[in-house]
Amino acid sequence: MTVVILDSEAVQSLLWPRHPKFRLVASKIEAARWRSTNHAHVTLIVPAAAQVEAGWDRKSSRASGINRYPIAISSLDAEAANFAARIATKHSLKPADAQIGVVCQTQTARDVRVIVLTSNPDAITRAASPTPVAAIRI
Amino acid sequence: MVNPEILNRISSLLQSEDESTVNTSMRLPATLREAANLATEHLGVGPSTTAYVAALLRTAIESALLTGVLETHYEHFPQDRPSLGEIALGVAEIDGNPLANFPALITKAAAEILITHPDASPDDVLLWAEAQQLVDQ
Repeated sequence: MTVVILDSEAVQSLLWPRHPKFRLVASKIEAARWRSTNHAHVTLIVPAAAQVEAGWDRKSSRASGINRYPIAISSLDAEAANFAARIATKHSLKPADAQIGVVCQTQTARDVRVIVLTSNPDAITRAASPTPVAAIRI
Repeated sequence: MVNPEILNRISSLLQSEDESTVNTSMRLPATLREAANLATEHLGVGPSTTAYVAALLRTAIESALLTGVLETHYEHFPQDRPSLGEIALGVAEIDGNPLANFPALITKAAAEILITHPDASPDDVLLWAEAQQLVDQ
């Protein structure tokens, strides 16, 4: 199984129809699909903190495009929030990147291949450490 | 082009938290049903046959939905469709392939291979790019 985690900028590229990075993000999603087991299926995940940072309100009319994507939101429950807080403090990271680190570590523990589309691969690599993830720059 | 309202509805249904179930009248080949039962019981593919089939169905629908959403976007904005070279570069990045440091080489390889192999895959491009790199050394 392959999961693709989107950071806030990747979310924004799907949120705005004419976003300059849409094509770049689409190429990485297509690449992840190609590398998945059946050349088709990947699970797209957006951590709740990245959703907030991107300004993605599912109830907003301007979100009608991105709402069509099969994207799972990873909620920030109490346990995840504590974990993210530790990561954010340890590595001086934004809350959204810290939660991406939580999702990376949680998914990798399930033997899932994790790919993160991010504008800051260095931050994601630190957030996910010691778990190795493919942090792809967009 | 797929009706956007259909895509909206499918997406909405997949994301619904409504966990009510229905007894389906969908007919399955008896042999497939037995194979699924055995795979569940002896191969550990899922906690139950129902859960296994539901998970497979969800996966298949999500894949089709993602294809439908992207294709709809590309039809509206053809310039947003990634090229084979761009996808191959993404594959190289995911793999940690050193070729990812040479995007121009990948772009050139994609352009060359498409002349004779219009259905070339991202892996074909990377193989060709690697071969070209060896020849140039």
